[in-house]
Parts: sequence; C-alpha cells; structure tokens
Amino acid sequence: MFAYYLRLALLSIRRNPVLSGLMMAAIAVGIGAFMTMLSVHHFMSGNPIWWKNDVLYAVGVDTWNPNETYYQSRPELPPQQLTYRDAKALQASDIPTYKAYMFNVVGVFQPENEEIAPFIERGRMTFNDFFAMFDVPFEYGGAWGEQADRRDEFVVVLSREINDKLFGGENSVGKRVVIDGREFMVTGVLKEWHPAPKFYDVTTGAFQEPEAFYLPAQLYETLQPDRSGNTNCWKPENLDSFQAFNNSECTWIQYWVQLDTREQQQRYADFLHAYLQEQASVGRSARPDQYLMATPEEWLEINEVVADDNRVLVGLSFLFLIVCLLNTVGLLLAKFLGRAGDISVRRALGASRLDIFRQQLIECGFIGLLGGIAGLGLAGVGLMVVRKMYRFEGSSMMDGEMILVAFITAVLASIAAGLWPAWQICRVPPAGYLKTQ
Amino acid sequence: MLKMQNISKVYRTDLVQTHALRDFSLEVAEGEFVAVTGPSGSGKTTFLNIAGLLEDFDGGSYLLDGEDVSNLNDNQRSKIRNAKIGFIFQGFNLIPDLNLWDNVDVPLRYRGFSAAERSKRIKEALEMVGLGSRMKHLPSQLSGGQQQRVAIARALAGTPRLIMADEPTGNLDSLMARQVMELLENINEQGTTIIMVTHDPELARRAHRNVHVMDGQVTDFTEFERAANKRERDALGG
Amino acid sequence: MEIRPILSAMLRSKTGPVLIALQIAITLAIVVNSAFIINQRLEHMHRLTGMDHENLVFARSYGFGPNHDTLATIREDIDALLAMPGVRNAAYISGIPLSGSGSNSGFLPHPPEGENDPDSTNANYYNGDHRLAEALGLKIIEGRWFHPEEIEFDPTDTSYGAMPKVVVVTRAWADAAFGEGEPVVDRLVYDSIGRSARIIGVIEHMQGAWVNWDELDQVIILGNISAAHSVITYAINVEPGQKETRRSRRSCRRSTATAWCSACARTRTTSPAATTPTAR
Repeated sequence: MFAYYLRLALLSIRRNPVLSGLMMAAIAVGIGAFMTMLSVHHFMSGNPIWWKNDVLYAVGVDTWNPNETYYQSRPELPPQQLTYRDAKALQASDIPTYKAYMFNVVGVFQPENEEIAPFIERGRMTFNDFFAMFDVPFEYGGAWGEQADRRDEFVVVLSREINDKLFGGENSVGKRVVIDGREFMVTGVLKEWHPAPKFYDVTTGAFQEPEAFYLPAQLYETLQPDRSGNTNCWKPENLDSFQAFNNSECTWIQYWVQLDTREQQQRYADFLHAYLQEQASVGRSARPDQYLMATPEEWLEINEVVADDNRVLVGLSFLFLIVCLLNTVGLLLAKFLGRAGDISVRRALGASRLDIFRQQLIECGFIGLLGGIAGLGLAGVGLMVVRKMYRFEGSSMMDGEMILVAFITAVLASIAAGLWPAWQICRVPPAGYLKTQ
Repeated sequence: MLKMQNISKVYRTDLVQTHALRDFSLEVAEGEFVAVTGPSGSGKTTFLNIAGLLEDFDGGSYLLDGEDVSNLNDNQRSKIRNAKIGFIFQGFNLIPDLNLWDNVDVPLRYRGFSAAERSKRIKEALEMVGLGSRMKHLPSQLSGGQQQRVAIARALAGTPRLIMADEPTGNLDSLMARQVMELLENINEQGTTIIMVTHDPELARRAHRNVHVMDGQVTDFTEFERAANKRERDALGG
Repeated sequence: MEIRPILSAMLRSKTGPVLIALQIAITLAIVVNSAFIINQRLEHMHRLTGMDHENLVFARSYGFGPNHDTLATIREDIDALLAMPGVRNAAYISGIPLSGSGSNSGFLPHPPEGENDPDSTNANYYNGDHRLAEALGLKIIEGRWFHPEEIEFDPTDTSYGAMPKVVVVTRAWADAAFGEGEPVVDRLVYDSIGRSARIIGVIEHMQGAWVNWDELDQVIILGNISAAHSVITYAINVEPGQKETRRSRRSCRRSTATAWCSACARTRTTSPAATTPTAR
C-alpha cells in the first residue's frame, strides 16, 4: 500500500505542479535557513579528535595573580595558557605517553625560485610528540626525530598547502627551505589537515587554519622568533629583553598530554599538584589545587568555542522554519480541499478515514523529501556565504550526519504540517461531493 | 437485502431545519431491481446516501444484508461499502488522473486483494463492459457512455451484492443510456440487487418495482399510479 | 472593497485566521530578535572611531635578517608611500585599530603602589610617529601631537609598551584615569613597573583593537618605535576614492638584507604576526 500511496503522491504533484512547487519552495527555504545555521552550530561544536577524547588532556596550572583569578566567572580554573617556565618544567615529566608544549610564531619564507616573492606564514613550535598525539596525517616523510627535541636541529615539517606552493606538491623530504634567513631541512609534509575547531590552540580564533609549518620548540631560544598569538601578563615586571620575557609570569604557551590509563592520569594529577606546591614553597604565586586536565571536549566548552550568537541564530532559523511550515499548512489545506471530489469517490469505494489520512501524510512526507533536497542545496549556498563571511576555511561544514538530519527534519516537518489538513480532508462528508463533479 | 424502518434524517443549519427523510421505510429483497423515483428535493438522494452508508441517519433502523448498520464505526462502514456495495454516479466520478485500469483498481486496493487477484478482476470487469482493450486510457479520452461503463466496471470489480445507481444515465444521450441500462439489466439477471434513483419514468418502468418518494416519505406507488390513470381518464373523458 | 463577506468568511472558518495569526506572531518574534541583534551591531559600527576610516589603508611589512635596519626601512617605506600618487599621508603605527589584534595594559596617574594598584586603568596602546595624527585623521583637543625629534627608538628594548618620553591619550582614558574633564596635558602617566612618560596631548576619539571590548575608547599612543616585533604597520591616508585601487595593488620588494611585503588593508581581521600582551 505504501508504494501505491507514493505513486498517488507523484500523480498528485504532477496534477498540481504550482501548489506542490510552492509547498516544496516553502519547505526548501525553511530547511535551507535552518540547516545552514544548524550546520554552522554543528561544525562549531564538533570535536575533531573525538576518538582520543578520553586520553588527551589540555593542561593548565595556576601561577596567576595571587589577588585575582584568571577567569572572573569561573575562579576555579587556571589560566588558559602556561608560562614558559611552567611549560618547560612540565615537559620534564615522563608520566605521559605523549607530551608537548606549543605556540605560534611567524616566519618569512624566501623561496629559491626568485619568481616567488618572500611571504609571511604562521608556524608552530612544538615537539615530535605533537604529531603522534593528534594523529596528524603525513603525505611524505614524518615528524622530526626525538633528538631534535633535545639539541638544535634545523628541521621543519610543512603543511600540504605550503609544500604545494614551494615544491609544486612534490615530495620535498630532505630538501631545504629558507625561513627568516635560515636553512631548514624538510622531514615531513602533512596531508590536508584542518581540525575544526582548532582544538589544540583556540586563543586566536577557534576556526583559524592550522599553521603552515612546524619547528622543534628546542630552537626557540636559538631563533628568538617573532611570536604570534595571545600573551597575557599580570605581574608588573620588566620585560625588556628576550630572557626577561621568558622568565616572566606571562602566559602564552599551550600544553597537551596523552595519558592512556587511569593510573597514568592519577599520577599526572598528583604530579601537577606537587609541582604547584613546590612552586608555592619557593615563593612563587601558585595555587596547588588549581590545575586543569581537560579533555578536548571539556577544553572546547571551557573556551566557549560555540558563540552565543550562533545559538540564537539556530533558534531564529527554527522559528523561520515554523513560519514556512505554517505557509505549507495553508497551501496543503487549499490543495486538499481542491481534491475533496476524488477523496469522496475513494471514500465511497471503501477507503476509511484512516486510509485517506495515511495517503495524505505520505504525500506530505514525499513533498517534504523533495523540499528537503532543494533545502539542502540552499543550505549549501548559505554555508558558502557563511564560510566567506567568517573565513572558515578547509573542511566542508555539511557532513553526512547533517544531511541525514536535514532529510529527517524536512520529512517530519512536512508530515507535521500535513496533520491538520489531512485530518480536515478525511472528515469531509463524502456524500456532498458525489452528486456532481 | 435491505430493510429500512422509520428512518429520519434532519439537516440543520443555523437558521432552518429540513426534514430530508421522515418515517422512511423500505424493504428490498435479494436480486430485486428497484427504481426510486420522485421530484427533485423529495429525499431520494438522501435515501441513497444513507442506504450506501455514506451518511448517518437520525432515527429508525436499517438492516443491510441482515446486519444492523446504525452503530458501526467509520472503518466498519468503509469495509461494508467496499465489499458489499457498488456505486454508479450520474457524473461517473472517475478519478481523472488515473487510467481505466487504476480507476477500477481503487476499490480492490482498499479490499486488500493480492496483485494477481486484482489484475484478474480488473481485466474481467473491463472486458465485461467492452473496454478491455483501452485499459491504459485516461477517462478524458473516452465518451460519456464509455466513462459510465468504466464506472460500472469499477462498481462490479469487487463483486458486490448490491449496486446503488444515482441517475446513471442522466448525463448520457438516449443511445448510450440504453446501452448502460442493458448492462445494468444483465448484471441484475446474474443475481446482483440494484437500487436505482432516477426521475426518468421510462427507465423506471424497466425496473421490477418502482418506489416513489415524496417529501421524504415513500408514497404507495400503486395509489400514485391509480391516481395518475384516473387523471388521464378524466382528461380523456372530459 | 467589501469587508463584511471577508469577515464573515473568516469567522466561519477558524483555520485560516489562526494560521495567519500564528505566522504573524512568529514572524514578529523573528523580526524583533533580528532587529535587536542588528541594532547592537549597528551601534558598534556607528560608534565614533575618531579616525578617517573612509580613506585609510593599512600596510604591513616584516623585516628580518641580521642586517635589518628598522629605522631605515621605515624611512624608506614612508618616503616611497608618500611618493605614490593619491597618497596624502603615511605614518608608522604598531598595529591596526579595530583589527582584533593589539596590545592592552594598565597605566596609572601616579607611581604604582604594590602589585595590584586599584588606580591602574586599562588602555589599548599603540606606538606611533609624528605623522600618525594626520594620517589617521585624529582630532587633537588639548595640547599637541609629537614632534619628529621626540620619536624614540631603542633596538635593544624588545618589551611591548616600552615607555617613551611623551605620549598622547584619548579623552576617554584621561577621564577614566584622572577623572572626568581633568586637564592632563603635562601630567605624567606611569606603567605598571613605574616607568613614566609625559602627556603632551589629548585626542577626542580613537579606538583600540577589540570591537566588543568595553574599554575600546581608552587608547594611549606611545611616542616611540617598538622593537618588540619585526612587523611594521603603516597607516596610509589616501585621497577620496583611491582606497579600492590602492587596496588591490600588492607590491613586494626583495633585497639581500631586507624583504618587505605589503599585506594590504585588512582593517578588521586578525593579522598574522601581531601579539597581544595584556595585563588583566
């Protein structure tokens, strides 16, 4: 019977192309707006490293101002980033499976090819563990060797985009690139990698593109690069030299560890606590109970990656979808009442009210499905605009899950819109429409 | 087959109450061919709608095929309509965007027959009305008489015990009307009870029995005829 | 038009009016909410920036290499910019206002007492040169702007916000730090470690880096060139109508000692090379 009703629905759409078209358009516009906003929300609230959510931890220790907490609204949290001293101290622990501090720098590339002008790129200084910890995919080569984390080696990992630009996408492992006037040897080239949100560093925008190149953090003091990112200081102190800054209480470094077992996690928590106690005992401002081990999901939540605006927009677009559905209800009423004759004939020939009700709802669902397809197209256009406006680069925001949600929403919404008209039409007394046609 | 006793039906609007039927009683035996006549507004269509379970009634009792139908729910009534009653309308009431095959298919679908059974019945019914070769045509491609024959095929496909025909020839010219009438007579001869509403006295005369409805009541037909004959004689004699 | 038949038809069937009423109600809810959001944004957009943003273009240059000479680069670049047709003025500034990237720190009207002096008043600060007021189109309401010889440069001091001898402040900051309407010219301003500078002028309006920040209007311009970062920003004031053509032109120069690329005007985006030290 379902197939029969579907065929009837098709016939009915063919018979009433304008009304059916309007209905589909109404649903498409509603679904388009709603899915655009929902996809943005879904994209923003995604966890790009969900499969390691229970073993990765963003680490924070509170060596902030003794007179006020870093977050006014959440005093129990340590600062978002670490000081250089704390980062170096934590890096000495051998409890984590992987551990890496990291920060942004900028560097000027001078291509060998004189035709290409020098260009500025954002890079990240970190450790060999960064790549294994975050499952960063490599196209060519791999991370630098562990020895480069202990003594200066001028090695670099390139993003796919920068490798395309410098080497036309060829395997550049072992080749040399010049950054800020120094030669570096390429050890690896990444595959396309656009974690969104950029969970490991949300300080300069959670949806920024990943860095163009990666250098061993070991080289920081040798290179004295231009840092990029967010630096927060609380202590009045003289910062007039590179050394002074590094010894300061300014926080500017992100820190992540991988702790695979419950036992490791407990030991690491104890380690952080002991570290803060020790710092307090030597006279530094430190709150021993204020350390943080946040999973990627918790970290994104703490940093309020999903904007409130976005939630409001999802709500508004849902209301808009309802307006579109109310329009559809009106159109459906018109359409169904126009078909009272046919319905009455069916009733006379033995269709019960329930049969008619089912037939109408299946037709609504079918129209909803078609409207949903068109709506997905509109949402695609909407997302393109959003991407342009907000400069969300890289990965597409509409994934399989969202497409499924779009279809289900479209079909359920149009069935909901059809309930009242279908109820009306199946209650029409058939006798009145049979005498004349 | 059908037994109505003291049926009444009142239509109410905000302003007026109309008694469409009052104390309406009628009995039709199995295999009969009954013509119901009467002037327009006399209640004969209301009678047909109630008899065909398309409308409720307000008072009285109605036994259809021995079953009291006054307290059935919509689903049960639909099932009875589907299985026991075939409808033929003045305006044919074919569904315009379905071809002949699919039109005849409609009652069979709701009956829940298998595809093979439906197919067999549709072919038989359309062949019986002489349209077996035009199954893929749309109603609009047929003449009025052909359309009514399709409607008859549709009414017959489910092998009902009772056919309700409402002015079945009202929209047809006399040649076509005769063909349709012959078809109905054939059906009746095969044992199907037919109740036909008409205002055409010539058609009515071809039925086994005539029932005259006036002001929502059955008036005794013989008396009516006697009165009519008397008027005729008076006129001749005068 | 006959109203009565419409009304009576509406009274008879309730569905239509209910549908319409619902639609109107929800549409109204959407419109009101959107209007509120848009209004908020418009308020931000229409705040006085104090700058001639219609005709402002920003360019950035990044110097590197052992022989990089910041002062010489700035001088050459500004000379080159001023020589371009359609350019009315060009000046050095350490960051782009309203770009979402900048520096902010607490400054005081007296030497700081202890680590948490409650009189510390936040300010977005920029380093700027003697041409900056004209290039940005700032309105000086008290005192004066920097003279060329007052602009300092210490290549060894890589701190952000190294204190110069002279500064210019916005009226908003002066009000917050010294009190409403207080005359501040020739008074001293202190940073958190007690280094001081003399206020030589007050500007009517200027805005800092973060659009959504409450203290956006509290700005201090430091009369020196910063050695804290290799990125140099130029504020370029062009003749009306020239902005779009200037924006589309990208020029890059290459030499053995220095290279500079202009990343052209992106007045409202995060620049790649800027850092934001803030004292909270």
